[in-house]
Amino acid sequence: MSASGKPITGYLTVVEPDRPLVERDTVRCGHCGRIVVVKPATAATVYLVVDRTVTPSQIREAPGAFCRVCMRPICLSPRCLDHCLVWERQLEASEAKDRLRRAVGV
Amino acid sequence: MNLHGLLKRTASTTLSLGSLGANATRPRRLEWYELVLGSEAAAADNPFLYVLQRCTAQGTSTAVTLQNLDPSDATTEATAGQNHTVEPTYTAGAILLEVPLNQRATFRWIATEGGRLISPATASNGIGIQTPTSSAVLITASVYANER
Repeated sequence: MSASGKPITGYLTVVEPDRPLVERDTVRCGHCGRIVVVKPATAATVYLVVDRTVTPSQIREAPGAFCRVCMRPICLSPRCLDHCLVWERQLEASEAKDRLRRAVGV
Repeated sequence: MNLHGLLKRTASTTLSLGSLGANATRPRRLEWYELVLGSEAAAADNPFLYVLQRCTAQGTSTAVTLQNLDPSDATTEATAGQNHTVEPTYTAGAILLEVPLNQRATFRWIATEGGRLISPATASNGIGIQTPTSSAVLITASVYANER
């Protein structure tokens, strides 16, 4: 969440000769940390996702997702949609496990 | 401390462009807050797909020296590599960003404090940049990260 209370926490640009500048806002998934591109003027309710089933890959629109447990926007992966496990908690668990492993010399 | 890494890949079309990760014995968190992707090759219409994915080992690559943006900072503990010959060990499904891009185009992403790409302070964990769709030309990623 940004300081203004809006979920937008990133911004991207694509510059290409002879084409208009592309500007998009991004949000970070509260469950896995993935960066999701959002459709302009939709307040993160519509995502722009990469469709890799076609070559070259295309961008398509998809309904956004929001977790009402941690109150954060989330990505569309089944794991993130299934249950709330905030990213910071996963980070801490990974680091604690690593500290223990190094402490015992494994 | 804020760091900059310039990652380049010259010829391969399948192996990773580069990766940034935590030190194996003194790991620290890395927070990517800016990323620039593009190609320095002669202009041509080739499609690229850049995929950022979490990894738990850095693979084999040419070492890249990360530069402190503030020269008075201590030396970084993070490790970085480019032009991989052995892929990092990617975490299945842990894709953090996908960028479809024409070779002529340049992509730039910046994030605020709450929107950064974070890799844990866990030995050898980090983030790698793959190119599932690519051509055999020089491509570059300029990564700005905060180590804490």
